[in-house]
Amino acid sequence: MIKYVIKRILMMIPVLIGVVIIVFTINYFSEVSPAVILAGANATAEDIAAKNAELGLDRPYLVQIGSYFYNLIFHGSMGTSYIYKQPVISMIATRMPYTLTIGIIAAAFSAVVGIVLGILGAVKQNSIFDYISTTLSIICAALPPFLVCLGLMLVFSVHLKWLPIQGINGWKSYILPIIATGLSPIAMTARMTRSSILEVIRQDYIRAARAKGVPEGVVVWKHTLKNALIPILTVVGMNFGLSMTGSVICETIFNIPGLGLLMASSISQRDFITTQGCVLVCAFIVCVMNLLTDLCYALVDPRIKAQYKNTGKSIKKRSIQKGGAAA
Amino acid sequence: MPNGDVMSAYLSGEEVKRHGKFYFMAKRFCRNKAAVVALTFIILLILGAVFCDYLTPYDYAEQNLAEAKQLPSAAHIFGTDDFGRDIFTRILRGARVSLLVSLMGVLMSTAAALVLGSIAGYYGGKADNLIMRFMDILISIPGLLLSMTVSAALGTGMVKTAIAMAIPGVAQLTRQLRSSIMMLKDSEYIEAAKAFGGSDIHILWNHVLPNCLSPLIVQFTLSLGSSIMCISGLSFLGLGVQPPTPEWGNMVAAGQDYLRTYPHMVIFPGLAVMCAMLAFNLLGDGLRDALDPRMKQ
Repeated sequence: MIKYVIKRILMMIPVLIGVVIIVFTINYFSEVSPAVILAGANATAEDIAAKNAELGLDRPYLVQIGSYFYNLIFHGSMGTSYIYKQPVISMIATRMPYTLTIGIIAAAFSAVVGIVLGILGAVKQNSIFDYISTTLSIICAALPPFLVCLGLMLVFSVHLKWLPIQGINGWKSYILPIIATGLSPIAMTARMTRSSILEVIRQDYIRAARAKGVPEGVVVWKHTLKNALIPILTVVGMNFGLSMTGSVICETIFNIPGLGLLMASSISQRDFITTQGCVLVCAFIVCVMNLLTDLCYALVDPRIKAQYKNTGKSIKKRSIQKGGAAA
Repeated sequence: MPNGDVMSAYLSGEEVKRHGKFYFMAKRFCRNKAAVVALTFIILLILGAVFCDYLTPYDYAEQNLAEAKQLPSAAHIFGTDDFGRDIFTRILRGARVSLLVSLMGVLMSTAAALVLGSIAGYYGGKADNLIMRFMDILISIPGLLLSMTVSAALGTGMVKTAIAMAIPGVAQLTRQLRSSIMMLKDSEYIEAAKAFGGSDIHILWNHVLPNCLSPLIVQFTLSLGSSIMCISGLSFLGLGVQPPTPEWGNMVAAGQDYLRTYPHMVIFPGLAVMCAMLAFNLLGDGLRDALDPRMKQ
């Protein structure tokens, strides 16, 4: 098991290196150079060239990316922001808590609500409740994030005046962003839970459990849910990664000084080195979440645990999903 | 097994011949009411986008400050924005941008995925390893972030936004195509085609890809919806399509300042994004059931 975890962690390294190379290359060939923005509207060609030299952007591609990696690996530095003149890593560190708080609470909240809704929908299949929750989850999955944020703000902050409109000011400020981030994950989790449970609940061993008189609650929670959990875990893990994306729009609207806002502002100000750091951190979080999801598979399903132990090989998520669904 | 499949299994060969395969697909599709409504909505949206200049008496760009910030009324069914432009006209005009850009983007990513997925799935080996590791990298960057980065680097405009949309889409389509091709490539009929001396390109194009088409069409439809959402997100953040070209996302961004007093400026373009996304999702689900009843969840 530990061998498997170490192997997976080592496999993350080439992915993250690839992420840096891709983002760096995209930024390197950018139409607008950061120097043009920094030098201002009336800058001459010399001003821009001087800025470029100051930022080290006049160096060749390989030198620039090489020095980025050198600083990252040997000094743990992600460079200095072009605009704020602060180390990128400390800027990210001060903003991360907001984004993570919202992301983690929203993920937990959406997982709980989504799974409960999904179970109720599956158990009471074709009832009015199932109908309403399925319809709602289809609609929620189609809601654009900015509409959710602005709609919540309109109702709860502007009209009802229950919650603050923008910024972070006490725990109340977190409520709307968490709901906005969690809404579409709830829909996805509920949908996946419903279909996964419906698949399991038709199995013979569920009929056997019912036949021997196991109470319905135990049948659902112990026999069905445990066997249906693998695809649900996949969605929950994926949703956490998605909340990183959602944070860009959500934090811009609610004006929360988190990673998303930093990313949005760095992209629009062409502060590429900050963008690169933010994307790298996001990709890292996504990779870690994928690893945690795979480890949760082992917790839930002893067969997968045995696979991890025996081979130590990376097992494709797909095959695990299928194995879980067929169980 | 769903009903439709059982029924078509009992049909005689002659009946299938008389009606054709498409007839049964259409029949299965029509049984799904939500998908039919979604398809109708999309067709209306496309017609509205194409003929928007003739459908309403207003111009999408002409400012009319005398009529600024009107709430919905008989003359302006969705109201007017801060420059007095009719929001309904601008939404129809915005549909042109959204539909066109997302279609371009998804076509680009499908084309790339067809090449990469075919190579990875059909040939396997080193090429497969290389392509799929690259896709792993692409997929680990959250989609909107990658689009934002590309969009910031390329600049604004419709084609550039389409490219920004296309890049994150490639990974998922390639993965899907690769797995369908890998499932098919060891079938007997592929072996037979090889035995007859068919070239790889011939086998891929005539035998393998046509059989991977259904999941691809479904994914294509779903991607259209999600990329409309992503385009509006980009434009909302000030990347992507810029004003004065109306796009649903930049209309919401412009209306944001008037949220307190004139929420209709945000709500209608936002609902347009939602309806388009919803319609493409429902259409995708309907197509999945119609094209391949075995895939029904």
